[in-house]
Amino acid sequence: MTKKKKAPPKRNAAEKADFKRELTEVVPHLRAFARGLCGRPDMADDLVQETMLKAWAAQDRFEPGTSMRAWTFVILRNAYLTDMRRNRFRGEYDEGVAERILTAPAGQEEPIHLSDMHRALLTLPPERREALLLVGAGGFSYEEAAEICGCAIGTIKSRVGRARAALNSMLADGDIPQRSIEDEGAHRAILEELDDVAAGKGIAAAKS
Amino acid sequence: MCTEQKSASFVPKATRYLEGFSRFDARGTTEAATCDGSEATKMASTTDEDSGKEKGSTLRAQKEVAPEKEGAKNPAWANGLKQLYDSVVDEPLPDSFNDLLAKFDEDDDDGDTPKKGGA
Repeated sequence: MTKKKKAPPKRNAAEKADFKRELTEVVPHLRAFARGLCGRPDMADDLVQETMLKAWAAQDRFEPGTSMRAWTFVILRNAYLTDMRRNRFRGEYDEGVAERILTAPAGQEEPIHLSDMHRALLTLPPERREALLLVGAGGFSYEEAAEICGCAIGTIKSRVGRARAALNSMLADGDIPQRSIEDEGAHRAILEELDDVAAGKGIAAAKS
Repeated sequence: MCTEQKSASFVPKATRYLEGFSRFDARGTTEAATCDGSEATKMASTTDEDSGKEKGSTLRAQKEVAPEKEGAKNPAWANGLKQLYDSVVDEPLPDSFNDLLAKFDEDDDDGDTPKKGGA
């Protein structure tokens, strides 16, 4: 996203139609990923639209036959990191929505308070949250997740492991930091971490 | 995941493989399959790096991984995470998205792609 290569030859109409179809198909996934990353549905949707525009503008760089979902996730994640650093997203989440979404696990003995889970998720350092979202929710393999985040597979594995451990202990002990994201200090810490994340990683893998 | 499979390696592999599939839905399958794949390679040659790292992270995650495989006491949140994701995937797409997609075509007819993306 940072480098702007001279565009390869324009795609013909059929190729554009293919691209648009594939892009359309992944939009629901982009929304889900964005929602997990930034919590607020309205902001997540803004992020997805931004991603769609960028993807469309960069479509010549998409290699047909490769994963549209992975490709667009890279764009989304870079857009998210950029926006986070510009402080457009605060990682707040919508309690009402989380509650509604998450309360009715069919056939589960002990319905978890999914709003707790969502809140716990949002307290994770961004790179761990992202790794867990990609692997644990998005169903990406470690390899794919590593590709998307521009880091080594081992790094992804360890991030996922740590994220899981953190959620385990938070949810098991019921010890979820109250809305720590809204806390100024915590927020600043998160932004600092984001700088680190954005500094080397992520952009490297972006084929966009 | 792999650790669990290893410790139960007396169970015929095919059975465990199937379990893996019943346990995970289509989205989770990649992970299960990856695990199985890496175990398969280990049988032929040893990929120490992979298994070592896997062990490292599963040590801590052991508590949640083991029940996950057995199914009964899945940590509720593991399921919740997918639910959260899937529930958004299954939401009907707000009109604004279709409007945006429709606009791509218009812009295209003008011969130019929208310039908003870029940097």
